[in-house]
Amino acid sequence: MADEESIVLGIDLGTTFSAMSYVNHYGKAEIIPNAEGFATTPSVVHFYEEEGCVVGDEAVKMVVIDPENVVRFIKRSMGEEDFVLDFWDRAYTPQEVSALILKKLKEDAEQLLGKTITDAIITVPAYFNSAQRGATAEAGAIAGLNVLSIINEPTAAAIAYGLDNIGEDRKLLVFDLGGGTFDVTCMHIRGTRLTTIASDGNAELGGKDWDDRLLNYVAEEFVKKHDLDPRDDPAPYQELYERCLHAKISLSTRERAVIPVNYRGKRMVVPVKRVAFEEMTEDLVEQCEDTANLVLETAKWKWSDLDDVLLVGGSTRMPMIREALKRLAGRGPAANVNPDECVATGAGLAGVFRHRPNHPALQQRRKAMVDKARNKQPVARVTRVEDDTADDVTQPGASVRAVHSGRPAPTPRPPNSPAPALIGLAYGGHIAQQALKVDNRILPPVTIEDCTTHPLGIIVLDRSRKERVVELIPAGTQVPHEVRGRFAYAYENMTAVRVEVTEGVGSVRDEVTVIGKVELTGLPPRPRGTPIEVIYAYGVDQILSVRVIDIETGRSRAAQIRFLGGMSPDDVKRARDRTRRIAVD
Amino acid sequence: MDPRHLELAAEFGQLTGTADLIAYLGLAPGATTIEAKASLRARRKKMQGMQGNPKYRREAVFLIKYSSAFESLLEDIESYKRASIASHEATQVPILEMAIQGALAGGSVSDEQSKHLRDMARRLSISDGTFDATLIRLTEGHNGASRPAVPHPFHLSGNSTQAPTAPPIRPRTHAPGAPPPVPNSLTASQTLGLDAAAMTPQLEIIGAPIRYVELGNSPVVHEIRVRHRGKAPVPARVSADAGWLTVSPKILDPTRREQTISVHVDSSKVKNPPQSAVVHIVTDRNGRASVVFEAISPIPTASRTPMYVGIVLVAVTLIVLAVLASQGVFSGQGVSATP
Repeated sequence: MADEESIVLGIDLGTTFSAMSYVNHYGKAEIIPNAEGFATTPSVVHFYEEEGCVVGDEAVKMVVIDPENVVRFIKRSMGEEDFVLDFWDRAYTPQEVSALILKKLKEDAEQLLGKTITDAIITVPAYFNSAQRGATAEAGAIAGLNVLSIINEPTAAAIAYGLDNIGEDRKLLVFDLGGGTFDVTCMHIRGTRLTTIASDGNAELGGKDWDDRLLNYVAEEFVKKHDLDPRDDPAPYQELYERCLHAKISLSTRERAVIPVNYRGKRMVVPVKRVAFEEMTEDLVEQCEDTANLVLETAKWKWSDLDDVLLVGGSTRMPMIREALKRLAGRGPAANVNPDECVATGAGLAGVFRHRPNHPALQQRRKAMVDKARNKQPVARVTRVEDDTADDVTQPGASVRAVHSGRPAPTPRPPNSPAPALIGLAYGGHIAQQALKVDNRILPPVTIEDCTTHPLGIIVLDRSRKERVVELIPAGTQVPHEVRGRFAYAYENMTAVRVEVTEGVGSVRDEVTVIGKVELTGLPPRPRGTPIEVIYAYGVDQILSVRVIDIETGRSRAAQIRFLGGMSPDDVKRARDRTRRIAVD
Repeated sequence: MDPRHLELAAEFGQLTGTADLIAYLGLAPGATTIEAKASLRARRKKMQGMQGNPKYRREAVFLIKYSSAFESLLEDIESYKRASIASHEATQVPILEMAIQGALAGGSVSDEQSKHLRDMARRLSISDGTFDATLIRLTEGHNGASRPAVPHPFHLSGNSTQAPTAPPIRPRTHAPGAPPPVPNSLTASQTLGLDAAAMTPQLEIIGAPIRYVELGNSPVVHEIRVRHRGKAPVPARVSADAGWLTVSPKILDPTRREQTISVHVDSSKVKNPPQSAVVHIVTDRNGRASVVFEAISPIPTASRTPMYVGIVLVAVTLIVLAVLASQGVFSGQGVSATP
């Protein structure tokens, strides 16, 4: 297999669930089910012995039996300093725990596809900062993956949605309410270009907060009656949490749910009506609405400007969220998007768009476009497949009924490749109407333009020699972006310059995070005021390149700040070796 | 003993409502370091299973992050105890000082006030010895100063002595015998002097320096109005030293003269009321102002009875008046004089 066709695993590493996808030979993104056959895997790890753990549904079952050795919601601790868990007298950072989830996904994918997979693209909430992004990339490296890039979850979701709408001009709001994080992103689809206009969110708001409200309500009802609190012990708490989670899901389709509580020999059934649940979480919905309004305001859009609202994340299934958005947008959300899978699907596609520019499916599309331009007529035309087996035709090996015209004979399939399939139906009808031949490998060459969610700055000394932060790249700046700033020597006869790169909103050091340093040394001593140029170049792949140039001598120093997590390369290597020894079931 | 570790332990104590790690772990007097560490590890292990628990999440995350710091404190339990008491008092004494100064603004501290202040000190876990020393120090300082009675900036009401009129600000004049300064020109030292004065942050709290919060009416939002009297713009940070207070904004707009800080009081987080906490406003040039929040238990219904009785009396009076009015008692006919 050509290198260009080697798999890039698109991974949605979620707070509560994870999913993965890849783009097949024909350019179709496919969700890869886990070894248990499910499209999503709970992001839960149970350490049953020193060098053995289980990830996914089996781990969830253990939360009520062995809660001290189970980790869930680890994503909420990514990038957090000093956060170390202890299982069987071994310390685990959040990166290492996440790596075990990724290892499980990687191994399941390899088993299913029969190939070794190393390259991956992992999604993160748009509002994640550098440390959190860095920790995610480190988790991938520890799992034995070569993390080609990190992509924002709303962007990935928009790619999956956008393939249906390529060639159009659409304004889209991606409302991503996951298990533990919340993002709102305004995206503009113009032709084959997907541009993030504005993004904001809360890395500590998600479906879990709705669960917690319900859990607190039920626990307090129990306390009122029995003067005992089931939250005080890990196992009863976990059991109650599971029950509340199921009740919450049930309340999405039913008006009433009951939650049985059994603690220290006392029993109680707490009924909860959907109306009551909505009242107790009203402020959370308001927070979501406020963020959405703020993002629209930043994008200088109005709700009426939107062509679609894309709901991403399982928590958007809650009727209160759908109703709130319907009220604001004046219409229902985009249909035919699976909120649990679209992020992983988009990640797989982004892996090809960003890192496999010569993927056969992209090449074929380009060729088709050239042919189309030459002939001034469609290369091939196919009617919308109206076959009973329409759902199946996206699967390799399925047969289709289609009408072909003006198209040369199909190119022979490569050896061992799956049977031809109509590409595009997975994304809806649009692609299928445009393109056309059953075994065509087609994928439009989509360009992804993201934007920063946190400002980037530099620490300087002002006239009174006091430190302050100067913002060089504001939040919401589209990437790639380059900015040049001119500064000056603060002292007489300086021979070295240090540039400290900051992230976050603030005017002093304590309010921001220093994410990197670049030093230019060996300069000839010169007077105060001697000019220095600093260039920040932020790429689509979330890499910030910093260059410091001494203008008079032309001497320069460059450094790349990439996925700044907390681990050194040696730490990552050690953790990878350790993780390799842990069996993941 | 690392002061940072002590700070973390104190912060953890505030979060969990315990005096120190020893109380948190429920250690018996005379517990050994080994026992203390084993207890800490067991607690940490339990908390690993509580990370997602809304009731314990903050405690769990704190313990997971800083248990190694706590272990180092428990290496020498006796030293930790002493340092913990001293460290705790160091943070609480300024609150007590403010309260004492508030009482002294009226001239002296009455017996009743002294009793109240001592109770407050005990609630703040300040030893009687430290309380006595603080009271004596401040009282002596107050009486010993022969300064004019300037109203304390934190004085609550207008029943204190009238503030004397401030002397008019006069332009700086040259020293006798020295040559007069060149008009419209300042020497370097004058410039620096003037600038320094202008730059000095002068924060003033408008309103009461101690706010009493009656618990049970959650959520309660109090407002603190703060005025900056300095000439230069001064950035300031706002913080609260207890988990049951949340302040917003946390950073004040340096360009505004007067701003309002919202203080959200979460009654559910106040354990064993009454409790005190302080909202600090600190500028980056060491200017500071504070407001004390005293969380108190709800006033018993019985004490509200007079209010209800009053309402009922007013209502009855109004009804009687209405009846009389309808009978023409107050009409012109009723009061006309007979010839």
